[in-house]
Amino acid sequence: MNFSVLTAHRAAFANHLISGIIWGIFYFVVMLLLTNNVKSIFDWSKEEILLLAAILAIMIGIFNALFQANFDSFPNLVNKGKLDSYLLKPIDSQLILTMWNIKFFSLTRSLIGVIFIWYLTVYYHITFSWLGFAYAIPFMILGLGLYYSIWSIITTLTVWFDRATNIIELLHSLQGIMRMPPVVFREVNVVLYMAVLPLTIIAATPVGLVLKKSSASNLIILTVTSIIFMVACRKFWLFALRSYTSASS
Amino acid sequence: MRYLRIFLIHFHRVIENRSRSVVWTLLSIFNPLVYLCFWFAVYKSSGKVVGDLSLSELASYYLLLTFAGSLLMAHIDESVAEEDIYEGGLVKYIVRPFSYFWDLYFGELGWRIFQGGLSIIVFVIFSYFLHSLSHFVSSPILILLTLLSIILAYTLSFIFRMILGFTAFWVTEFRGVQNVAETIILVFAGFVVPLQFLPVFMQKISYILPFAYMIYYPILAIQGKLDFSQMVKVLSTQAVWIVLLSLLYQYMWRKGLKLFTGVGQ
Repeated sequence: MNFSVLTAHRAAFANHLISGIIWGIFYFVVMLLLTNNVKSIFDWSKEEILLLAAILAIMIGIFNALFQANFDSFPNLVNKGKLDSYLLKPIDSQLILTMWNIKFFSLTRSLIGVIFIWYLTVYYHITFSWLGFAYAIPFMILGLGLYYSIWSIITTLTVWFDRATNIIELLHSLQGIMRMPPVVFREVNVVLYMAVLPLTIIAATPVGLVLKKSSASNLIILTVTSIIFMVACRKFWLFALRSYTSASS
Repeated sequence: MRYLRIFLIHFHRVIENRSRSVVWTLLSIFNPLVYLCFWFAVYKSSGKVVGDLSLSELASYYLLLTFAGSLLMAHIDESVAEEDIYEGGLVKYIVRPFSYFWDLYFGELGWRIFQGGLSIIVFVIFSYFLHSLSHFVSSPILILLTLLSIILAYTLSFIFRMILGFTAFWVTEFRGVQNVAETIILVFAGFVVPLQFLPVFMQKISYILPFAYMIYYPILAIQGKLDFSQMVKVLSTQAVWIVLLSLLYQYMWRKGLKLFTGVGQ
């Protein structure tokens, strides 16, 4: 069904594709500009920070393709009282609301991430183990589960704050935290570090595994945090549904 | 008086939608604070000064960026393109006995003042903890020129965003144009790094484009880093850009209206 939409609206697809490429390239331009005058931050070298950004881009591309369009439209569905039609369908409401639309063009972001990894290996001579990369894949999936849960919890807030339809823009900004190594926040302030910890481990832990930096405790923290957030997002959704009052929500 | 009333009417709407303003303000402070954390870690890790700026100066820059981003950067392009041009909302403005430009100018000003006010709270809190309040313009004449520069910066960003919105008269999908413009603004207005941190060729480009005069130079002016002659140069450049973009605005408005159909396009 989603593929039919893609072929039916080819101009829109091309436009989104170009936008995706622009933002994907811009994302790496920002990282190159930030690290332009930097050699390392504690135990993370410039090249490793750039690899973190590249692998995060692959993960974000997959997330955006599967979920983002659904989360983008969620606040407006609540604000305009259109959620009812989804709640009445004989399928789990959270599942249908977050996975109905698949946007294939978002995968360009992942593709740009792959190209950037190639660029890093050729021009920055960064070396990593492909076996380590394979080991990291389950933790990338866990990281995506954690990221999904954070998006779900925050968008669910619009059931109460229905005018804050721009909350999605704020969620996009979270990527700014995820592309930094956790050490950046740990060295600034411990309280800040604890507050942003769930976001910083999403990509840094699997990338740490690729670079042989992640310890067993890092992997356990990511696994436990992901499970806690996934359970919390489900419970919070069910709780929010009890407060949803259609157009007058 | 008429425009003051328009401003107050719009300001009521801003207050009514304050939760949206809070989110927009959070959004404008989010990235600068992440970049600030990054630089803190860089300084702590290397113990050196990066790009001839002390950590305190850099902290002051990013904190003022949160304020400047909220107060000076207009976000009118999307509503002009989608609500007014694509959905036909422009019709109601055309039949009104006052200018479309000034109506939106004062309407947007309400959002900027409210969000700028919120960001001042954030600025003061973070400045207190980071001890970066020392870098401010102090001479009375320079304060006046800085205020003038702030007004011109807002006007410049507003006209640019209006022109961006007007591209919807010609293109069927405005988002692509907006995305290109957004990425250019973020880099060349100084949202990512201070312009002296850019590679030399990018610095040269940034001094030619109008975006640095919307955000970067007003921040330097507030920090008191510009002397009288530099302030005059910045103000003159802002004025020249406003004139040039106003001419382009007028041209696009006249041509665009001929293409516009009341049912939307």
